[in-house]
Amino acid sequence: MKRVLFLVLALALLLSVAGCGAKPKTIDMDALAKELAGAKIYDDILSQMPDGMTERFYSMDNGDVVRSILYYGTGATAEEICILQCTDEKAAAKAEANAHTHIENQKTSFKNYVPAEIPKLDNAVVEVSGVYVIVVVSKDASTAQSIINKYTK
Amino acid sequence: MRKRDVAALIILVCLALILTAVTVFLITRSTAASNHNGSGKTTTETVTSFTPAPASTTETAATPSPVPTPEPTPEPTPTPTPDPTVPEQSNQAPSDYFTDAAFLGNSVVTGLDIYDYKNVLAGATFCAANSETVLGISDYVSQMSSHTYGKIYVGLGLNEVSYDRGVIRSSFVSLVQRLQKEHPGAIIYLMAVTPVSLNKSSTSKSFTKDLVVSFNQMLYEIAQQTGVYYMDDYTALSDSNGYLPSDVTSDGVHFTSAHYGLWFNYLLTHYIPVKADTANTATPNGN
Repeated sequence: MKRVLFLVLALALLLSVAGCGAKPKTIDMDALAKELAGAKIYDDILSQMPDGMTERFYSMDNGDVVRSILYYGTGATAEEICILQCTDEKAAAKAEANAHTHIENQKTSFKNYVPAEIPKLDNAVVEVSGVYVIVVVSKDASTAQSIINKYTK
Repeated sequence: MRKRDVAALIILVCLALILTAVTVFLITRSTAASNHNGSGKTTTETVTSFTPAPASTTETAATPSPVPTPEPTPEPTPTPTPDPTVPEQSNQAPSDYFTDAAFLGNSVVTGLDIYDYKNVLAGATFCAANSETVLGISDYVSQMSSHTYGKIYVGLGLNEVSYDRGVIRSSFVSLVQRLQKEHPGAIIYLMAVTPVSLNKSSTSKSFTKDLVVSFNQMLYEIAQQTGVYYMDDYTALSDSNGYLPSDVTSDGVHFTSAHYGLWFNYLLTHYIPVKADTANTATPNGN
C-alpha cells in the first residue's frame, strides 16, 4: 500500500514539474518597450504608434495578435521597435516570417533613399520567445539584444 | 526824241531798278530769318514747323529731317491675378471629405498616411514613397488614371528643391496639366514644400530655407498659371523664423508624428468646399 501511494505521489510530482516547464514565459511588454525605447541606440526620434499600425506593417491578421507595441521613427531612418504578443506559437512563427519580410521591404525603401540605414536593417534583432516576437532596428544591435535577453531568458 | 523825253525815260528806268533791288533785298532778308529760328535746336514740338533751307541759300548748310518720335502708348492696366492660396474655412472639413482624395508625394507625405492616428484622412489614397520627385511620379499618376478622384494633393518638391528650376517648373506644369486632363472634376492642391531646420539649412547646400522659400514661390506661381490651388502648409509647420523646430526632427527634414498634428489641422481647416449639386471643378478663377 505504501509502495502504491509512493508511486502515485511521484507521478503527481512528475506531472506538475512537466506542466511547469511547458508553461510559456510571460514578458512584461511595457517594461521591455520602455527600456528599449530609452536606450541610447537610435539616431531618430521614436514615437509610439497606436494599435493597428503593427498589424499593417507586419501584415498580421487581427486574430493572430493579442497585443502589440510599436515605436516608429520620423521617416529619416529605418529604426523601430516592435513587440508582438501572438495568440499561439503558430501565429508567432508567421509574425517572425512577416518581420523578416518587413525588414527586406525597408531595405528596398531605404537603399537609394538613405543607404546608411542598410547596415541597421542587416543587423536587425528578431527574437522569438514563445508567443512573443520582438524586433529592434537600431544602430547598436548588441545592446538591443542584451536588453531583450533580460526579459526572455 | 526830245531831251525831256529822254530824261523821263531815264528816271523811269532808275525807279524800276530801285524797286527791283528793294524787292530782292526784302525777299532775301525774310529767307535768312526763317533759317535761323531761335537757337537752331530741333525738338519734338518744333519738328512740324521745321522749314528746310532753300537751295539757293549759301549762308546755312542743309540739315536732315529728324525722325518723329511717336507718342508712347499707355500700358493697359493688368488684370489682377487671383490668389490661389486655399482660404481658411470657418468649419472643419466634413468627415468624408478625403474619401475621394489622392495624395501624391514623397517620404514626408507618407507620414500623413502613417501618422494619421485619428483617421483624419479616412479613405484617402496615397501614392507616395521615399525619394519621390516630380520627375519620377508618372507611374503613380498612371495608376491613378483608372480611378475618379474629387481632390488631388500634390506634395512634391522637397527632394528636388536644389534642382534646375527651369526643368522642375516645366515638369510641375506638365504634371498639373495632365492631372487636369485625366481628372477634370478634381480639385487640385499644390502643397508647399515643408520647412527645414535651422541646423539643416546652415549645414546643407541642398536643403536651405532660401531654397525652400523660393521653391514655394515657384509653386505659388504655377498654381496661378494653371488655375489650381496652393496650400501654405510651410507656414503651418514652421516656427516664427520659418524653420522646422529643432526638437521635432532628427535630420532637419522629417518630423515627428506629433508635429504632423499641425499639418492635419491645416488640412482640416483649409479646403475648398464641395458643391453638392455641381461638379467639383472649383478653381481659383471661379470657373
